[in-house]
Amino acid sequence: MKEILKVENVCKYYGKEKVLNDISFSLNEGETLCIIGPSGSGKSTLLRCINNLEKIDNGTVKIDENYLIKDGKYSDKEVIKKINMNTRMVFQDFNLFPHISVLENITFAQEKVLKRSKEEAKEIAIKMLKKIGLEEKKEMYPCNLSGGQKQRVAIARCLAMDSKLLCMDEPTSALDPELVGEVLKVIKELSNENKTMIIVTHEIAFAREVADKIIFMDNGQIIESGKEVIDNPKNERTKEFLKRFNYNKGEKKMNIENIEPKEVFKYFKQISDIPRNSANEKNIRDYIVEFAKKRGLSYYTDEYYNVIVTKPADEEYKEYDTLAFQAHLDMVCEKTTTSTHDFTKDPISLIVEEDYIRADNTTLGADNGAGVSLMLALLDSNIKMPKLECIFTVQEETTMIGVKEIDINKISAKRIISLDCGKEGKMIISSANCMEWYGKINIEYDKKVQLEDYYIYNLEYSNFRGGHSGGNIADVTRGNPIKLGAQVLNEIDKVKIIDISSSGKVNVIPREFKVQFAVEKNSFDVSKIEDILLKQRENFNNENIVFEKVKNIDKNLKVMDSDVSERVIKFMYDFNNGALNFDSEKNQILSANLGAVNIVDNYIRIDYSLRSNNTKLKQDYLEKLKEQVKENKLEIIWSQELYGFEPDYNSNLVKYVSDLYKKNNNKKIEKIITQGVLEGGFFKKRMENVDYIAIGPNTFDVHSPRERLSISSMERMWNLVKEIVQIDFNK
Amino acid sequence: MFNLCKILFSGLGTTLVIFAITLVLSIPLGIIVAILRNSKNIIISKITALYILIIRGTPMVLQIIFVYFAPYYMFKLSMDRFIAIIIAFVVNYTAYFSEIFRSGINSIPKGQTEAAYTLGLNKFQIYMYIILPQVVKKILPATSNEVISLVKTTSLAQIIGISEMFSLAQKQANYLFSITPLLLAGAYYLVLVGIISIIFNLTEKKLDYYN
Repeated sequence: MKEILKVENVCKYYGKEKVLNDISFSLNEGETLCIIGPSGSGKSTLLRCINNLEKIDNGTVKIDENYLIKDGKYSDKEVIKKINMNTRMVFQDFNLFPHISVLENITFAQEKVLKRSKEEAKEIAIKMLKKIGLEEKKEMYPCNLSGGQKQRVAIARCLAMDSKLLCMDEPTSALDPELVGEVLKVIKELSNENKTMIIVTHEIAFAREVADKIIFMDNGQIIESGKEVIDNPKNERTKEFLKRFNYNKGEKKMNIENIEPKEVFKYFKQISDIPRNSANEKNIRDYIVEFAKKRGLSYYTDEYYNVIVTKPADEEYKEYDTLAFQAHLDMVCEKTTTSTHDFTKDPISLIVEEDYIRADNTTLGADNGAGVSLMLALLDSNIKMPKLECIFTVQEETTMIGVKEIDINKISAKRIISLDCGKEGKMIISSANCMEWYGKINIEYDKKVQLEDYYIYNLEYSNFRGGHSGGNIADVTRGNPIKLGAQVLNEIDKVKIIDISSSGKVNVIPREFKVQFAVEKNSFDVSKIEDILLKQRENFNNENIVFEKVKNIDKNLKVMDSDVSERVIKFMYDFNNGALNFDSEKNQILSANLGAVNIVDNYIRIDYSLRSNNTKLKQDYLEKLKEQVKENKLEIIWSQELYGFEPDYNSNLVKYVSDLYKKNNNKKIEKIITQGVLEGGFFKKRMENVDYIAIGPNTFDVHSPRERLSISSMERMWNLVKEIVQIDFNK
Repeated sequence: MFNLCKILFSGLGTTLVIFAITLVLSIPLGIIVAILRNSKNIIISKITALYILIIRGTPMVLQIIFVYFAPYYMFKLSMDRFIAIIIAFVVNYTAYFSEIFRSGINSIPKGQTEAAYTLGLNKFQIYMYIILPQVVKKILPATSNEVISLVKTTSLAQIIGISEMFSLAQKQANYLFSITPLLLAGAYYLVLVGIISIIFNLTEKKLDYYN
């Protein structure tokens, strides 16, 4: 068998730190090599060195017939160019060229580098696109593809360039879990076709399946290599690493307390044993108070069971500002229909699967148990740090009473970092101010109506997709059935409503809307509204829109008078609904939701809400809304305001934490402006000059029994948090 | 009034020629300076940094006067006014453009270059086909600012006696004891800037197909 790659005694330093330590291995034609190991072990660096994206300080790399570097001496340009022709690389974050189409992404280098003709390049590109199952996307631009599709295109782009060696650097790490499979499938096929490949991956099960050879790296060294590394690890470090992925032989169910970072998961396990649904936080509060007492830390707690634990500054950090972390103690309790779990007394059972922790058919409580355990670990650690305040709030998932009532005078920090973000790589810098109302219009019936002079119609919208009024409202394909109904009703003269109802709540996009109304026989022109209905049906062909004449009319039917009907319709019609404003980064910053319209007792109740991340826009909207309310004589019965906070791009907190993240991960943290309501809004409202951001490890499907927490992400978050406490925010 | 329009219109030609030549020369030069400024070679990058510092750090009026008179005082060479003004403008605008381009180039993720390199593209191809097309989209707003300011800055050419539109307007204003010629000149600038803005907006729209 022919040797394609030979690596011998390769060393590389970053300053004094040795990131690659005497690496040697070789790879034969047709073999698939998988490199596994913890983050920061040098796997990616090795791959980048082989592709000449980074320089090696010593050693030999030979690809096919040519030396890239021989005993520390790089070959001349011509030889390196030849080598460059023989290796291709697939990157973690795809790096497709955004300004050209999918097809051009694949043909471009073929034409420029291999000098293929346009036709030939296109033919090959189409062949490759067929292979990865994306032929129909060829005219699209990368920004219109999902992550998984982008990565498949990136692979096709390399394949079209015929090379001897294909390197893949964590090809699935940047993908949402549900998209990983499609990419692995493509790679598996390549492996079956005997493409020579090196794959750096965290997908252990996948590595085990496709690899002809596996290398386990840690600390810049090859610890162990061979075919059996995963099934039969010899070295302790390998075993330790593999434990996390539940691949340790003979030990099927992994004990969570052995998972790194142990100091964090220890607490995650402990708090998971304590039932803590919203408004039932006494036990978990007592646990935290006990925790503080044992360690001699001062604490404050109140009748709502909020707790603040304070850790004094270490000597070297006396001059630094106090820093606060915050998480909520309660969790959402959801279970599958088959589960017998009792959230009031049963502990959450934790199951480890590859890189994820999940619960047994219940919610996991990683929202926000992950944050709570990170804070406990910080309080318990002997890292030197400034004065630390850990704020544990209650009932975040329901009433937010914790943050509304907590005594803010007990918080001396001017910077609060919430650990409730739920997505690594993202930082929430603004949350929505949410105002909710319900108003009523008193019903008056028209007693003079002679029903035989009227047609009576039913207009019904059902099977709409609904959704969250903050997160989903920009998706116009969901539609708001109340608004659609109002559009039709508004076209009809002298409507008299008989019955009106909708599904939903103030903060949910409605899924159904039904109205029955009467119109005078001699003045009604049905053609006008049929046009509208036709268009609506075109736009919503999966949903049901029914418009029908009622044949058997109940003689005792009561009909509302025109004035009431028209006011209701006009309000619904004029209500400015949906995602209304975006900032320059295309973040949604103003949205309104007409949530429900129903008859209650003797009035019509209308529920609506407004979310904003910008005070000026909010004021403008409110002014218009006030006019509409006044014009249609809506009586406001109830309203509440949940506070939000606006982005502060100049804050040191945002800046230094972003910088740190960038330094550690080599990519920017994404700053998020959310239309959700967070506790931060209340902190910012109640405290003067406080900076607030939210970060956190990756969690998936929160609030559902499929909730999962990523172990590796938790480890990275722990490392980040440990460094955050060392930042001097005053510099 | 019609006469006045005509007089100013004759100056508009000079204004536009200065504008166009400056633009045509300083944009490609700006790209080159931006690339040099990014160079790994410290000497090259420091020299370009110094050039940018001097140009941005001194008044343009001074630069124009320097270009026109310095050769005479130093070497007894007399410069053509028009050539002098073009040199001064190009040297000045190249510096400003280069910083815009550099910020654009630096904003393109490193991964783009790396991906292109591993596909076998050479440095020139990477810049030409991968980086610069993406840079264009990013720098359009900043560039439009600079181009608009150039239109108006052409009026400085009168310092060394070139009769472009604004200087003609001033003369007419003095001659007629009226502010109308100046307002008219203002209107001409406004129209020019309007046209430029429209062109930039259209280009921006055209590049909206990806993000």
